[in-house]
Amino acid sequence: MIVPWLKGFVDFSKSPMTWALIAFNLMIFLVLSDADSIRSNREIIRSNELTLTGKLYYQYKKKLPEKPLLTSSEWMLLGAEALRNKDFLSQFESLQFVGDQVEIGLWRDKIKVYLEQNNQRSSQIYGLQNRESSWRTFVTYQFMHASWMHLIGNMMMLVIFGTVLEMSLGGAFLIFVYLLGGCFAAESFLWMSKSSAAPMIGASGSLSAVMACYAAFEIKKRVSFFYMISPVKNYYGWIYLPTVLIFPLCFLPDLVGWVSTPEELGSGVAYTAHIGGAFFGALLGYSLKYLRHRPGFRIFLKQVSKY
Amino acid sequence: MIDRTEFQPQAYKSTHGIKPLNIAPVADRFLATAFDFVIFTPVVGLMLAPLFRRLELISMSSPQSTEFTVLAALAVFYICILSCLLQTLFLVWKKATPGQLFFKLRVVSVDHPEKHLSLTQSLLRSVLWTFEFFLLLLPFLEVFSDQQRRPLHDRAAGTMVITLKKDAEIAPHQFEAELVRKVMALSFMLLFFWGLTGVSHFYRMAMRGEFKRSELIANNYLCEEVSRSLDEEDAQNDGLRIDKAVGLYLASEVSDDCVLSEADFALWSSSDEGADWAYFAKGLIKKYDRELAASYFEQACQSNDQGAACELAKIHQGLLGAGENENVDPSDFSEQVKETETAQVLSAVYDFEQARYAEAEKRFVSLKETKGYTHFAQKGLIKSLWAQNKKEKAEGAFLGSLLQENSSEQRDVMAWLCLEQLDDQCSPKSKQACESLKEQYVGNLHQVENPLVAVALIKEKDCRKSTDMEIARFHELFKEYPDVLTWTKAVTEESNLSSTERLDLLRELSFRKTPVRPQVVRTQALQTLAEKSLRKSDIELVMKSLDSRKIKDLAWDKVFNKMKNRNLPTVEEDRQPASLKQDPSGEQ
Repeated sequence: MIVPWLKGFVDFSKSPMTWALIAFNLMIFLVLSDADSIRSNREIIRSNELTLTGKLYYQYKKKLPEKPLLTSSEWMLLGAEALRNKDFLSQFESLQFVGDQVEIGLWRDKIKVYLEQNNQRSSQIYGLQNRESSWRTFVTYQFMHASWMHLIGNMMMLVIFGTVLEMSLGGAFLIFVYLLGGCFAAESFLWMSKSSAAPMIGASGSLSAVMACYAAFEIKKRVSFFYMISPVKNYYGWIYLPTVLIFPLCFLPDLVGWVSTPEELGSGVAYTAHIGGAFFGALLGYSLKYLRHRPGFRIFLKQVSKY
Repeated sequence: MIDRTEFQPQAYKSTHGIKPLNIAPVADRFLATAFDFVIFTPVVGLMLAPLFRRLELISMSSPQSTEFTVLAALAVFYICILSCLLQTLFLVWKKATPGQLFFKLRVVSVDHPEKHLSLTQSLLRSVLWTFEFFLLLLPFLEVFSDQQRRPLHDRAAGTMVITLKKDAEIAPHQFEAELVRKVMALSFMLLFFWGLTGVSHFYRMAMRGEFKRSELIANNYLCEEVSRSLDEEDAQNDGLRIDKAVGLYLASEVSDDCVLSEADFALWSSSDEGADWAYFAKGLIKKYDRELAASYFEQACQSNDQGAACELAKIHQGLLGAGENENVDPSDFSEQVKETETAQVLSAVYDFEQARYAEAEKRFVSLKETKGYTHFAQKGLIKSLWAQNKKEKAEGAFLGSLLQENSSEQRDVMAWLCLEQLDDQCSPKSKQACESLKEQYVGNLHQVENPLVAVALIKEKDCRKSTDMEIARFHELFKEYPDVLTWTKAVTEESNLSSTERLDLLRELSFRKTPVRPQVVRTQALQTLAEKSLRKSDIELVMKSLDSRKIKDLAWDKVFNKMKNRNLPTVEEDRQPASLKQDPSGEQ
């Protein structure tokens, strides 16, 4: 068992901005949490419907083969991909399909209901979707979370790295990195992840920027972790990991996750956003580290950290 | 008490006596390993990304395929190779893996601690280290039992893990070492026996030939019964296939699912052939959902408005609104429809129901020659022979059918024949068909699942006053078919009801608007009512329901005959069914 040791972080007076950010995120989550109120129409995700969706999507993507040879689970996979494909969903009503026309008619109605219900969800309104959606979503998505686990995981990282960054560079700078890093993450998500119908939400892109910025800026600082193998002397204690380890420990797995996820399946984690945010943060942190010894910059830094 | 210092020289002297070797703390080694995992996992993941991507896709779509097994085995193999190579690289280069570097541990040669490790030593150590994972990590436990804390891989390669920190580990206590060794021995023994049972299990499975799954998977796309009933060339023709499937379905030779899979195949493949038939078939199967059935029939005509399927669909669509007793009249069929097997089945059924038994017999004989319709044709033939009063021939055909395999179809025929005989003569005189039906059930505890069989057995009990079948045997069946229970109450003596109560029950079964399941209960009830009721209103109602029927098959004839036998003034000559005019000797 290895957990980050939070001793010394939980100090509201030293890092007010971090805690304000956390409170804000929590508030937004509680206000907009619609997990129970609007359930999406599950009917379309049942195996029969998904198989049918897959068959139709197959026709949309390619020419029909002589005989349908795919097994039903392969059809279902295709169906799942179809439900994430924006183009397909936007023109399914006008498309002509070969097949059981009665069943297809019923399917069209179900998809319509599904899409309507989906559009009412708050993640659809405030989450980041595509270039056509409003610029506001670039900001709003950074404060939305899907579940308690999602929120707690992200906020834990914010406590660890937000506080240290705020203590060394100031609250205003933290907000700056958080927001701009989030926008950068969003941009890289739109650029690198093709065909995703699920809107992106969560502070993880912004947090990647914060973490990378701190790691690049204070490359030799250490973060303490508590470990316990068994409650015997010498088998538990603290280890101090250098911040630079964040890159191989956090961002390399993101890269791996991105390249090893099948495009047909998609994944629940926006790896590309993490990578983009981290890239921005590292660049910023490293340039700050380079500039910090210039006298003019030191005065500027002092001015900034007052806020 | 044992003096612990005796066992553990704090600093191990190397043979050359240059530097004391501090034994590395076990906790540090554990953490270093965990750390290595965290570092190596993304590196290996990055190198094997294409493989993992493919593996994940296959694991979702077909986790039982050979492809998945092969890919998974490949993935395990590559992970082992890569982790061996990475470890060897770091050991030769730095005398430590990244995790060990971080926790200030070093792997040194016991003989020459100051020198770099040789390539052979490093490779041997990492290969053994990897292999120990396949032994469930048990050899790693040696770190608790060895005096220098050198597990298998360290001793084999002649290496030792030391710490550069000051807090060195001490050698394990004698008791501790002994205990760990015992635990290891026991675990290996369990592992061995587990492996032995596993291997013998697979051996027995292989000998029984249970590894045939691939063959089974290959066959479930199309309905097998249809393929069997077609010649090999015809089996490739979608249009012929689906016609055959519909025909077999109407003859109740194949199940709903069978026809559905055939129809889906025809609809979802690229050729248009058979689409009209497929829609027609789907409409037939969904006939209880009228709207859906209607839209399927419409679609059948939209896809091909000249075809036979469209014509049949139109006829069936016309029947959708009508009651349960309506049936297709094949006399309006056009030439192209008459050629289809579906039409042949429909005509045979229609002829029989319209009491044209001689024609029905011919049709059933010709169907018997067609592949796939054996049960249906045999059953029809026996019934139509019986109806023409060729009773000996019918019994002969029945006995002939007994020579074939024993099936539920056969029990159906037995029950039908039994009922016919009892309708003829309801007295305690022995009959062949009822005996062979009873043979199936008396003396064993088979559940009676077929309602027709139940009706026949109960009627037999009632007529012949036999005592070898208990009414309790039908308990489960009554739950599913409450109408059979009602009828049983009305006819058997065991129910202890008064005759008026009995007649009330019969009236309900006879004149109810909603369908009676199975239909034979209604005709049986009507017969009894026609025989026993003294009320004029009853007789009128029976006449009315006789009039409203288009189908006048054997069962309805009997109702009519029973009415006639009572010589009531309401019976008029022109209401006689066709069969009685042709065959006046009838069943009187």
